[in-house]
Order: sequence, then C-alpha cells, then structure tokens
Amino acid sequence: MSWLIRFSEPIALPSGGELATLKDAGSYITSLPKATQATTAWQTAVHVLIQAADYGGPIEFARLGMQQALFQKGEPVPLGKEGPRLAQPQQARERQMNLSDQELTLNVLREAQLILADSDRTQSRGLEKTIHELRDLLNRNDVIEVVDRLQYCAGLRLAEWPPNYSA
Amino acid sequence: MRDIDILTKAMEDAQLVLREYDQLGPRDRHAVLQRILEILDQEHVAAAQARLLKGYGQLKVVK
Repeated sequence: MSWLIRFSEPIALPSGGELATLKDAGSYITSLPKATQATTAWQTAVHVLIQAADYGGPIEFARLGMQQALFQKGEPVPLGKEGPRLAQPQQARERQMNLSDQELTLNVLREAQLILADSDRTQSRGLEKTIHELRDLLNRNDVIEVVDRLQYCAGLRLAEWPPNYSA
Repeated sequence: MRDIDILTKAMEDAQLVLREYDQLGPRDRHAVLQRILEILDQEHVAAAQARLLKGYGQLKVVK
C-alpha cells in the first residue's frame, strides 16, 4: 500500500482546494493546529488514513474519516470545490440551535484554528484574507457578547470571600 | 481558572491583536497571524479545549 493512493473522488476543502491522495490528506492534517489535531474527529481521520496507507485498510473509510472531521456536527458537505463556510450562515445556524456559551466558544475557537490552518501565508493576499476572516469571526456580536459574559462571570467567581472589611 | 475561562481569555487576546492591527493600520500581516496562531495554539489552550470537548467538568446523570 502507499500514501500516493488516490481517493475515489477528491475531498473538497471548506476553504477551497481539494485533497486527491492519502498523502495530501496526511499533509493537511499535520498542517492543522495541535489542538485541532487532538480532537476525536481528527484522531479518527488519522487512524483510518494510516490504516488505508500502511495496512491495506479501505480507502473509502479514510475518505469518510476526513469528511467527518472536515464537516462536523451536521455541517453540509459541499459537492464542489466552492464549499460553503462563511461566518454568517454558521452564526445563523448556531443561533437557531441555541448553543450554550461553552459550545459557541468551542465552535468559534475551532473555526478560528481552521481558518489559520487553511490560510495561504505565502501570499500577501492570502494573509489579508485570513485576517479578514478571523476579524469577521471573532468580532461577531454573539461572540463578543459571550466573551464579555463569561469574563464577567469569571470576575464574579474570583471575588474574595469572605469579604475583608478590615482594609 | 476554569477551562472555559482559558478559552475565553485566548479568544479575547486574539480579538485584541486584531483590534491593534486595525487601529495601527496595516503592518506586518504575517506577524499578526503568527501572534494569533501562538495564542490559539498554546498548550494549555489546546488542553482546555480537549477537556471540554470530552465533556470533563460537566454534570452527568449516573445510573
């Protein structure tokens, strides 16, 4: 078996581009932030990739593992290269789903890490696009509200108890 | 500090970097992205993220 084996159909990336071979998929995963790689979905994707490349495991499983990691929690899998991954639709989905502050924080953090992983830092235009995407994501009203709310709660928890009246 | 506080702090720090970039005008974009990457990819942030994703610290009904 080999890492040069091609998927039956290339895997479209959320930010454009595609992964044609097991090697492409492996390289893509190693380019992700460590935190993203450590998540269950990506660990599963790594496992099925290695099974396919080194132990003759099913290539289709490797493909499915990658797609599940790329498009988690029921996000639509794009049919073509121009897959939808815009901040606005996700914000609408999250509002509809009524996510908790914690879930929203985790989602936004993961999205930011994916934007960084997908960014083309070899070109000035790519850098500007990445900054623009991060700004759109982190400056969303709901994200700012959640950060403020959670920090306010953290501040309340850190208050001294019992209060020291001697000062 | 709770795990969620660690993540919130990381997100706030990343927001601050972007705000500085906007206020000071276009500068070294690569350095800005590198700073954000360092903030969001810190070991303790990754660890907190992994713990929350696994559901640590959440109350569960146990039979």
